[in-house]
Amino acid sequence: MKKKLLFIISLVLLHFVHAQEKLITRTAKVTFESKTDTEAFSAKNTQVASILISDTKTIAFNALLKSFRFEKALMEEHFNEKYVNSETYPSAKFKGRIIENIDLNKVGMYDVSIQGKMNFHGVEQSIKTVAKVIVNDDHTINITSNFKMNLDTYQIRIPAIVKEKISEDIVVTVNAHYKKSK
Amino acid sequence: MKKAFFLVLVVIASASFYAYYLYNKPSIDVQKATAELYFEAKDLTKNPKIVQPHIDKIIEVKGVISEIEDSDESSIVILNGGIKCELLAKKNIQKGQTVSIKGIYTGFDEMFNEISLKKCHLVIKK
Repeated sequence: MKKKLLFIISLVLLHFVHAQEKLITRTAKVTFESKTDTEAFSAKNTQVASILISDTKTIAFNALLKSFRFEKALMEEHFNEKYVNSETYPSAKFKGRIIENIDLNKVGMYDVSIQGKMNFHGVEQSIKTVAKVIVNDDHTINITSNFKMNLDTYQIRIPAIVKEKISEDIVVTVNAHYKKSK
Repeated sequence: MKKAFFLVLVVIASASFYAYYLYNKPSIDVQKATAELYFEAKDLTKNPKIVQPHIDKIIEVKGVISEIEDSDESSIVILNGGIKCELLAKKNIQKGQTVSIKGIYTGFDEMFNEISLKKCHLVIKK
């Protein structure tokens, strides 16, 4: 009797494990842009890894800072060595969830809010941003979002001499296309 | 006196040209560069730590393609289930194929536990 009950419980548990659908991408694109009166520049990372769990609507991102590509070699060097110290803090991480009660198995387009924690340059910060979610016919999911990150909040100090060239608020754009993980 | 003035002018001019050159120097062209280090993918996946000190260096890895993920900007090729190489130009390659890829080593991606390379190119041996 006891054995039978245990068997039933494990079956039920197994069902829950199966219900947790994991969608992944390795090609999420994260770009950041800085624009001031004297200079504009941008950098992008098109190999950002991300996981989306459809039933809990949780999202996790991991962007290696060294994987950002700049137009100019010197900018890439300064970014890594002087500003984000990527040797010490190799990646920017985000973990959060879609707040709205939407069904990620239902085809459609949704405007949502994502709330979570950003971990960047050794600083953890709660953030909330709006995002667009598209559930496609083939059950792949697109998420795009756009938000600002303040350099001071993440303790990134810009030397006075280049202050005019780098904006205090960096505009970050995220673009991810999730597929079911095999 | 005139000569000295001219000399100073030349030094200043060349210094500023050099500074301008450095400032505008484009990022490294991996395709033209030769790899500084060579690895077998199976050795790297067994022990990812061996590549750790070589961040920013161009490395060449030989292995079997276990997965390909395309996006509109690039192709991610996974070697031996543990090395992620981002090719910016799409190539005619398939799962199961043995290839050599060179790229800039950018670190270890904890999300899927993969060694990460950017600006990769296929190495075609002549």
